Amino acid sequence: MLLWKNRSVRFLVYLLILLFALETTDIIPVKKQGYNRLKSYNRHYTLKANQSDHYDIVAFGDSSVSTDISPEAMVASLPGLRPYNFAFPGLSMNKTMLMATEDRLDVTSPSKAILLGFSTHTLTDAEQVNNKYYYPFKNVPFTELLTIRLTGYDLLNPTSFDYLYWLWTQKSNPTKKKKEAKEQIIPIIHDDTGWFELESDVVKTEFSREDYVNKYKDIALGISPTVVSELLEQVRIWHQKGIRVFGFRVPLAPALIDISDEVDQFNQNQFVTDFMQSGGTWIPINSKGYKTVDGFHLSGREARRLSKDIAEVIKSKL
Amino acid sequence: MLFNSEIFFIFSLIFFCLWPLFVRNNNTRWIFLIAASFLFYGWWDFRYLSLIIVCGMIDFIAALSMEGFPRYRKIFLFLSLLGNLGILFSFKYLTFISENIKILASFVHLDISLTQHTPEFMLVLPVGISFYTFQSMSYSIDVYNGNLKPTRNVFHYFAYLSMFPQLVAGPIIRAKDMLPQLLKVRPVTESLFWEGTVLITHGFFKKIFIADHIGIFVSAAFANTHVAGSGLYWWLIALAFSIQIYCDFSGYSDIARGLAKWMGYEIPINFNHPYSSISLRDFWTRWHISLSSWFRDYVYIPLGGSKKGFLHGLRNMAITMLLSGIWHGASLTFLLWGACHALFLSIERITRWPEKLNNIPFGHWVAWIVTMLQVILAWVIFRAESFPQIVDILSRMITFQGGIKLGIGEQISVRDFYILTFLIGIVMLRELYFFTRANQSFKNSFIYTKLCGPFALVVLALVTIYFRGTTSEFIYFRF
Repeated sequence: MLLWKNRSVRFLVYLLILLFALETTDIIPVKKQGYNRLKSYNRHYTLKANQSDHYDIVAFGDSSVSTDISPEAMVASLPGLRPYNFAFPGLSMNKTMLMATEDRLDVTSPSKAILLGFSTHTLTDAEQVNNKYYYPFKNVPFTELLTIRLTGYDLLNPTSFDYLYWLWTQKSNPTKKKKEAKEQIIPIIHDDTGWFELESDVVKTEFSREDYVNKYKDIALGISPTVVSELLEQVRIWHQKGIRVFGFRVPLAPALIDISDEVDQFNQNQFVTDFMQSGGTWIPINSKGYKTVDGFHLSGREARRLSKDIAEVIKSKL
Repeated sequence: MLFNSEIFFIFSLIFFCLWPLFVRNNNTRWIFLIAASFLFYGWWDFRYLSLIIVCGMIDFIAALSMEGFPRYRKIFLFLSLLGNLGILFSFKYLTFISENIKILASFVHLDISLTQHTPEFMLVLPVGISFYTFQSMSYSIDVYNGNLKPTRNVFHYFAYLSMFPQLVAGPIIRAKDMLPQLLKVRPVTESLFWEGTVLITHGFFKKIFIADHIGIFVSAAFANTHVAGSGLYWWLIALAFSIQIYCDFSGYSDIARGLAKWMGYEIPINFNHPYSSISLRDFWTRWHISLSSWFRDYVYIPLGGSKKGFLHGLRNMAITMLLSGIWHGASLTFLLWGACHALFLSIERITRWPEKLNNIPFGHWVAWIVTMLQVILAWVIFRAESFPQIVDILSRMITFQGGIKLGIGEQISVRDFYILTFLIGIVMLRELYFFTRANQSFKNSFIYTKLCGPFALVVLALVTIYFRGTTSEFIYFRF
């Protein structure tokens, strides 16, 4: 009773009770609206770039792999194995990144494998983009990395005025609500497996050459023979080391596949032949079988389906 | 380390759990406080801790030397000021001066680029440098004036100088207020702890809920080099910035004071409802009180204050305001902001309009409006990115370009307008409430007691937690 007279104690008790109530119910619409999107994004890729754990299967590629490969879904078909998504947005498959990928592999695992998800962009001469998409995450100051690691909880997610206003205006306009809800792309970040899931019902199919060029305008376009030859050489080395290497073309909107092949001057048949001759195993993917949310990335549901399909192929080969 | 970051929450949790263990012995307490404060500051960049150590050692040694060799105390004071101002000048103003020399030299077709010769680490402005150099200087000046006996214990001195709650953005605490407090172990009573809790919660609410959200609109408005929008729109943005900077800075001061209370110390109040002022003179006794009183005691009064005649008083006030302006940052806009306040204060002193207005019915309301208009106009100069932007915005505001058209749907969406007016309304109603009750004790008022009850405070805390945006640093960190 004496303790209850202490205002600070009362404050703390009220606060804890209400926080518990708000966190365990949906009274405040706080989850999944990506309010702290940039912060979560930076946190995710910083943790990934500074990952020190080792895995049986490591997937690598650009943002398409980051969103399309769900280690959670792969586990269902590959019980007992630990897959990890080591993909970063915008990166090419240059030597630095291939070595970083290998570093994440558990060399003692009898089923060690690397899964490479190709887009034409990953084969362009984009070494310079590492500075933008990898090194800033890899080279964060120690204090920042420690902060990120110490504060790695998923509680007390904030809501926002924008979101509440959106909810308020939708009440009076259900048609608009339905339309806008459909257009939402909500990232759900899985720091433990490296998957950057996109929750959405949006399906975009129509794209122009300008759409593609605009997306990659800040980097050199065109397949780099150096990147390709270094990649094939690395596949050969991995094969000799006993590491299974799987490759697949990431699903894009069908229109974008033609455009990217044309803009980047990519001959997929030739590449697949070279890849297999180097010791890699090619997993054919039917792009039309998967629906993307923005032409480049799959929704969470589609990503799970793709990952499961890929995992089945890997299972049959391991 | 930012107060509004998760890592600070962890840091303070560990600090306040360990604090009672170190509190009994003076040296242990000071060393623990220094270690924690250095960690707090070094989290940003450990290299710049050396500046605090150098600043502190200069004044610690200078003060002891003044006591040991009183005949030469003027020389030691000079060396202390030279050291502190030298560090401040090198890190805060050197780049600014180099760039301006380059511009001036270009008029006579000379290519002088001093910036190229400046070491890289001096191009970064160390966080809080203006605060701790001023705090350190005030110590040696007070010792020189005989107002303070110097401490002989270096840990005692550094515990005062580096005390983490106020290290990077004030309030600027005088040594004579804090050094004696640090000598004692003051029990943290229920009442003191509660006062600390109230201040910290209110501080975070002001910073995270009000200032950070308003800041989004203000930054967007000032980010455009091409100024658009009506005069009324810019009045709204200028008012928004007035609220943002107030809540940002007073929020920091409240948190600092609250944390100090949790340790058993008292830091003087830094903001006393400045937007309820009825004259600019009144405003400067309520806004950033620790800095205003610093300039009053160490610049204005030593220059002669207003004792040497009216004109001398005006001159001294103008010098003080210009220095106060440039203290905020190495930019001509800050100097202009200081000059603007000097001009308004001069007009106020010459015409004595606040006193005259106070003698007529509702005159204090008119005085309040006039004061607010001056403060808001001056904030535009403070916030603007360049001179052309200042001219463009002020001309729109003064001429009321566009009439009563606010630009809803063009410069500002309906949603943003609602949010902005809601946030501004909260603060202005609070200030007006205080304004109408200036003669009564605010602490005993109905609203104050209700707003500071445990349950009401929990509501504020929850709103702060669930409406926190992306962590943004405090505006005064860059000064």
